[in-house]
Amino acid sequence: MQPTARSRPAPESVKRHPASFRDPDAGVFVAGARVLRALTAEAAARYDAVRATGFIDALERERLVVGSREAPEAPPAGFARMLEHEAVGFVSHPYEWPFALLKRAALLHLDIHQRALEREVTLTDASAYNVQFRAVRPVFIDIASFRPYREGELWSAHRQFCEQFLNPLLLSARFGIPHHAWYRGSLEGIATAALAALWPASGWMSPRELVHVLLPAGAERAAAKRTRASVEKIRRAHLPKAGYAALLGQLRRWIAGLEPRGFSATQWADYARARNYGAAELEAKRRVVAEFAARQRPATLWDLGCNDGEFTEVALSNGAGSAIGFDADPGALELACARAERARLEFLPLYQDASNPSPAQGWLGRERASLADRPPPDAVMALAFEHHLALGRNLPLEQVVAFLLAIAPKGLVEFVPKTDATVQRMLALKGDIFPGYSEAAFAAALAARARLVRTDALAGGRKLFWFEA
Amino acid sequence: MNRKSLHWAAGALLFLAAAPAWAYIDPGTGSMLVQSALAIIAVALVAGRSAWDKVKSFFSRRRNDAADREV
Repeated sequence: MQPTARSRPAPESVKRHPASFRDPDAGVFVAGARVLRALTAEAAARYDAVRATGFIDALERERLVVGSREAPEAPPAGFARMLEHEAVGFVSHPYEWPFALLKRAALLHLDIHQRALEREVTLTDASAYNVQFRAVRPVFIDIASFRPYREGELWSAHRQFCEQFLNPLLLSARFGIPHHAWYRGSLEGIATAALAALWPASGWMSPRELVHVLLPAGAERAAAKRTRASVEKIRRAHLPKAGYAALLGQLRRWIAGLEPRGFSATQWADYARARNYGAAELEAKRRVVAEFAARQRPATLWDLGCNDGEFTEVALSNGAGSAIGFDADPGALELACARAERARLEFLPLYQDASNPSPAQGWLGRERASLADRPPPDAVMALAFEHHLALGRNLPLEQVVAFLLAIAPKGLVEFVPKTDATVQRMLALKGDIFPGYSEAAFAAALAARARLVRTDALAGGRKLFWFEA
Repeated sequence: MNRKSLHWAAGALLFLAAAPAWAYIDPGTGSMLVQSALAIIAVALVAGRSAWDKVKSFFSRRRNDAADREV
């Protein structure tokens, strides 16, 4: 740890982060885009002890944990030390992560915990919100949750790990139910009691399902009637380190083998085959996206309706610095994650329903930031997307255009006409109840809010609109 | 820092730490009970295994003596 100048006040005001209130010994503060952490004397002593083992250095070298160093600011009243952390550019929430990323986050947590135990260190909690993503690479951010391990102690964060990591994954792997909606509503995870209530009887034959789902739920119900005896039993318990490590290992093997059920059979995984374009039309669209990226060179790009990330990749390969992709189809998102990994893209695919985006929620409605409160991108791309909102969700075309144009000062939006085959399928049962939906109306709505730089006609009446504020 | 001084540091910290054992996290009674049950089973298994190992080594010694006598 290098010495730095102290007591120099920051240019921006230092404010406590609204999600940092549970731990009395450590508080996260933000100063503009910088992330700071204040520690009490006890927390600082724990941090120094853990640092001294070399554990944090090893994780920092492998980029598995955010870097930390002494901050130039003096700690606020009540705290003894101030650290500064490497900031993660875009904060995303576990209920926005596709299955593949939630799985990676879970495995990262377990790997860190296993390695910690080898050095007589343990983690106080197992919150999924303590993991963030740089592209599709998970990184652990809660340095203050490391503390020295006490021989014989139980894994106090086991319940939290199961409810925030394991159970949402099991919803997909066992039942084929994507975790996003449930997890978003039940912020602190999927309750084990709820999952146990759904669990098939065959679970009683499986040791790991017993240990992590069925028995904890059963024991909780039984303990509710005999609380004092339970507390006594727990206080006297002594779990050898080998047993602790065995629990972590068992979970790691289980989660490593989990795959989402039924996602590959979604409409979009077959998109490539059922696509309306021929190869030439696809090439034309790719060329426009490449030109857009090369001309605008956005440092951050949001790709709405990114699907499997095909065009996000084109943008990233031609000048876009990094991209966040949003889609409401879990199958497409799995493909997008695989693509980001395979091609090593600075690309983070996230689950999002544009007609029902992540709201601000949690304590005081500020603990977990809404999508609108994240740092806005430099450019937005919405290809083969607006018709899903305007026609699929019956949203007024004016409002859809306004919504898209408000995201970034520059962007590329594709208009899909009613004659398109996908739209015809959409309208087959609904009927054409959209008299106001036309390319002219779309162009007018766009022109009223931004400058139209150019248009590119694609096959089948589709058209790309390139706008600038 | 070597292992020994780390153990001293951890011991000192245990002494200093006034916070309750699990600090701000709610451990969940069910999970804790399952772990305490597992802990008891694990200890029993370890004790059982060391007893079984003694039995095995007793018999393998007997066999070896018999083989030597036959030569």
